[in-house]
Amino acid sequence: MKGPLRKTMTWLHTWSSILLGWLLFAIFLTGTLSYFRMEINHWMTPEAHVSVPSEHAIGIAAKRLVEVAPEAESWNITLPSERNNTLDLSWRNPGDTQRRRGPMEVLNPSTGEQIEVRETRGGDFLYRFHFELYHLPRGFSRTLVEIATMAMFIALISGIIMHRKIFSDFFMFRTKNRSLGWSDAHAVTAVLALPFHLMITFSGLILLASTLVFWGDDINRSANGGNQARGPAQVAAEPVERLPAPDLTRMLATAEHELGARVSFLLANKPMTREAEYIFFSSERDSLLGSRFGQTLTLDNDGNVREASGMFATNNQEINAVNAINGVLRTLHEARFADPLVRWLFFIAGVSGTLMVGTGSILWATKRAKRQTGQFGFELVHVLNIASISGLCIAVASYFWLNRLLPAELAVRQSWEINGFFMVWLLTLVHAAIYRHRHAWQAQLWLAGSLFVLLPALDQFTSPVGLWSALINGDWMRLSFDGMSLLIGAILLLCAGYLRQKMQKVRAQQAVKKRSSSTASGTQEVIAK
Amino acid sequence: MMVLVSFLLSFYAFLHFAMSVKKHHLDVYKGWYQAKPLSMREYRTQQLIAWLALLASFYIAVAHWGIGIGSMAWLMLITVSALLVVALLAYRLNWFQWLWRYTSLGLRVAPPVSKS
Repeated sequence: MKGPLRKTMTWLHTWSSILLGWLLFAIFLTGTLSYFRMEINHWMTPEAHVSVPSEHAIGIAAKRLVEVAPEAESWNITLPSERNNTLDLSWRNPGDTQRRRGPMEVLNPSTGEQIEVRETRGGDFLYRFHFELYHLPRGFSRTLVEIATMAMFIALISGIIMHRKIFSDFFMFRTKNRSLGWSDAHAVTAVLALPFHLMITFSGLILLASTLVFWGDDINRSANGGNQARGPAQVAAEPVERLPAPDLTRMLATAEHELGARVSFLLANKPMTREAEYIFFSSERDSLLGSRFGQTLTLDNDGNVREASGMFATNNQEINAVNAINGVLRTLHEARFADPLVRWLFFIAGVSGTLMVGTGSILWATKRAKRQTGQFGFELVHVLNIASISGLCIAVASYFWLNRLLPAELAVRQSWEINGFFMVWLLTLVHAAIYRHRHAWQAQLWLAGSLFVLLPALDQFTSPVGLWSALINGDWMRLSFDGMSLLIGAILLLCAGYLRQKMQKVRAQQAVKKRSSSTASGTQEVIAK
Repeated sequence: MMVLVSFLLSFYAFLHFAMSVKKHHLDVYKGWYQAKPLSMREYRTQQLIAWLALLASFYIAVAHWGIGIGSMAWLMLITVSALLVVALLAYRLNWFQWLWRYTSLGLRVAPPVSKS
């Protein structure tokens, strides 16, 4: 790899990315989808579609909790908000350990009826897959993802250096030319969304950095365990004096007034006692600093303000620059600050990143197709490209389909959804290996595209609430999901159409060549005679 | 509303950026205007207008969202508007021509040099 800088960089770019390109594609795709994690969760529990947010949610929650869990150690109330249309209650009974999830209920905030949602991992499966894959030891898979991120970072830097005419080719997209189409698509999706790529790769690199360095404490565990770190692990049950139920509705009004923002989450420690703390978390944020929630306000059982905390005061965590930077990067990476519009913008940037990784892998294969067809290495990359790009799209789509098609009361339902995901993925691999020279790409892209495009139709027919009433009720989470799947499906179908067009062109050229060569040989024969 | 203005301004900026590139300059004027290749004066004007529009769009985004979120959201915003310009250039050149003919400032300030 000696030679001029640009050549070296090209070499580095090619080989650092093709080795982990398939993994990177999966990471990018699931990560992009995870921007709509809440929406996916909502879509995948159609039982909750009947639920409509209302102002009385807090009153219903208070009444219900006093009824079912008056003795509880703590209450968690998740109020309906922009990205959650149900009222979620959970509580911890005295004597329970902190780690185990306590009893929980999902209510319709308008009527107070309990909703039995189907058992599913929902968007959390894709979110987890994004950084720790599935069924591998956590440390190992995180390290693998971190290495892939590192390769991505190297590929980005070397890609910038090797790009000859970054500004004059800024808008260049020549689809008509056979070989330039993929490379232009690769460059355009890379250059235009470059700020996003740099941000997402760098922050991802830092967030998982602890998997590669062996000093310092384990960031992974503490960062995820925010809820678990609070309080002692085991609480002895003691009889305490119970006070009458607090007026949560009035307290909520106080909190929203004091915070100047809507409250999305309420944590009550030792409710209905003298030491009771009611902590209100505001949902809105206007800065990149801070943890998952914005500001908090703590009230006591009589509704008096105990303390208010700003962005920095997260639960007992040390406040220092490193934590702050880590928090900012995490907020950026997960787009926690995003309103629906910004979320869509991030999603589009994510899609272009996914396309960049995909087209890059395809480019590797098309460049070598003429010379290396039949060689083992080339065939391997070719097959893995098909299975990991179009195959994964099919697998994700079928994960959504399975969610709606498997009976809701099936035992171990959620593992069947995930098993289905992997079985479909395996099938696409087999299909790609067998038909790799005969339309495997096209067939899989058509299938993936149609599966995604038909998801809204599936939604219409398998949800208790039709799409039209969802529109009237303003169920934007569900509509966002359907819009998202239409967008992904359209992109996949466009790719398939492009391939078909190209193949027809190639075939026409071959036919012309054959005819001209046969006529040429014909004339030669005539001349020879 | 502010977001829309910011978006349109950045789109407008990329319209001018695209016209400061030789190839697109050639494509857009082909069959419409007997123009010579991109002149230095045109290049400078287009770039200046583009940068100003981009700056204005950044300012509006920051005014709307605050500096931290605003700068991030603005980066995503210009990504989308640039993608839109790419799509227009590749698939709907006549729409681009229409936009350039009726809305652009660059065409007024520095019209292309005629061949004859």
